Amino acid sequence: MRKKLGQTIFWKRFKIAPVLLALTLYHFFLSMYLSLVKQVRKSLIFPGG
Amino acid sequence: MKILMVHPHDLFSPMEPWTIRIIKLAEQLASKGHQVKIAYFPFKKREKIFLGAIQTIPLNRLITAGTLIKNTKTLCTLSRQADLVHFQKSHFYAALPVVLAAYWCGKPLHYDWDDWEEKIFYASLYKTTLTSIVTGISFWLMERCLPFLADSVSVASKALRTLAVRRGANKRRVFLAPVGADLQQFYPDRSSDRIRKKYNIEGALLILYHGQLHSCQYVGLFLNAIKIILKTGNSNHLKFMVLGSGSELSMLKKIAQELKIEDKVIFTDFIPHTDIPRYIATADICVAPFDDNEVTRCKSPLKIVEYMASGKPIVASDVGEVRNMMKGVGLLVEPGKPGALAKGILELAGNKKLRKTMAAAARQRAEAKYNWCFSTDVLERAYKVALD
Repeated sequence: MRKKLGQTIFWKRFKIAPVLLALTLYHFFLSMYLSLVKQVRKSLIFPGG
Repeated sequence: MKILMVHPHDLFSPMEPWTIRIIKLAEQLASKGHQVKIAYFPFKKREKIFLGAIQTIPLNRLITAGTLIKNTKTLCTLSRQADLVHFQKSHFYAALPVVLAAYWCGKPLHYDWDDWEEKIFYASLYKTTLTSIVTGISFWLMERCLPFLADSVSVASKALRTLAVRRGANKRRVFLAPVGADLQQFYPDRSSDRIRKKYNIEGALLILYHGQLHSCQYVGLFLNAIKIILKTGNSNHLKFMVLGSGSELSMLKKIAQELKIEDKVIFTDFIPHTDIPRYIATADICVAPFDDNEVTRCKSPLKIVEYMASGKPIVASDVGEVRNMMKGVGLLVEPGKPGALAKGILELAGNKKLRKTMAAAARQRAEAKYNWCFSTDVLERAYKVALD
């Protein structure tokens, strides 16, 4: 039952793969950029509630 | 049900007190028989430990492309063991790995949206740099996409519900789960003698502000209201307390000095959350001032529900979710106006009967709706929809 649910969800989500890919690529490069910025490495704090 | 919860902050650091929501929800879920694990992002290396019945799993918070991949792999392993994946907040170093892991493993995904992080991020900035611009875009991107990427969404306010639906979430899959108070921890008629003695305020009418002293908290409004109250001349019996700590504490102390009110205001600095109930119990009136802006319209302030559960009369700014929380059980005043706040405080300070009536009504409201048990019931309904 759980396997079937997993397969359904996987294929439903496959349709929005381009969104996920774009998000992943942006954040992959953002991570690389942030790791080069010393002050972010130092604080590691993101403002937020 | 086996639930994997993911949170971007450090569960055990006093620097990040905004982990209360996930811990309390996890505790309630565990008490209802669910098996709960929380994966989180600590400041320093921590061990896997149990928080009561909840297993906590530290991930790597260092932001590099490598850790992004490594955290995704760890979350894939954890997701495979879970029936549902729940994550809170939109910080990309946590949200992206968890979305990828849940998608890869074919697990239902629940997003708990409790604050408009993009707006808080911009409000917290001191200067605009390239780093802040690219990070701001990240918050916008995540909060733009997460409502439709998740199978169900819980939100802390009606304003966030509207936003989630506008951003692609199915209306039937968005659930309003406001913050709650721990009714066993916060209750009326606690003894306040020890704290009154500690601060030498025996016999005074104490007006208390409780909260984090970071940006977007508006304690400045309270300090300015105190100045106005002191000008009226009939305030000898009043004392004021700012309970909490944060990055703006020293600046607020400086403002109090500039306003020449420092001898009337007590700044407690950091107090552990376990001691907060005793401090709130000491207060005669509690305040929650806010400006009217995009951040506050989406907020579901924890301080208000903790005041309510403690059975305290409250003066708060009439904005966003605060209105729904307090309508009929507290005094709502115009947001962003110290004069209106001062007027509200003086009205309650001069009317003991009104204070008593409001205090009782506030506790009743907390028992009926604003407690973690209620929020967890909502969450369980959301999980059911995600699994459907």
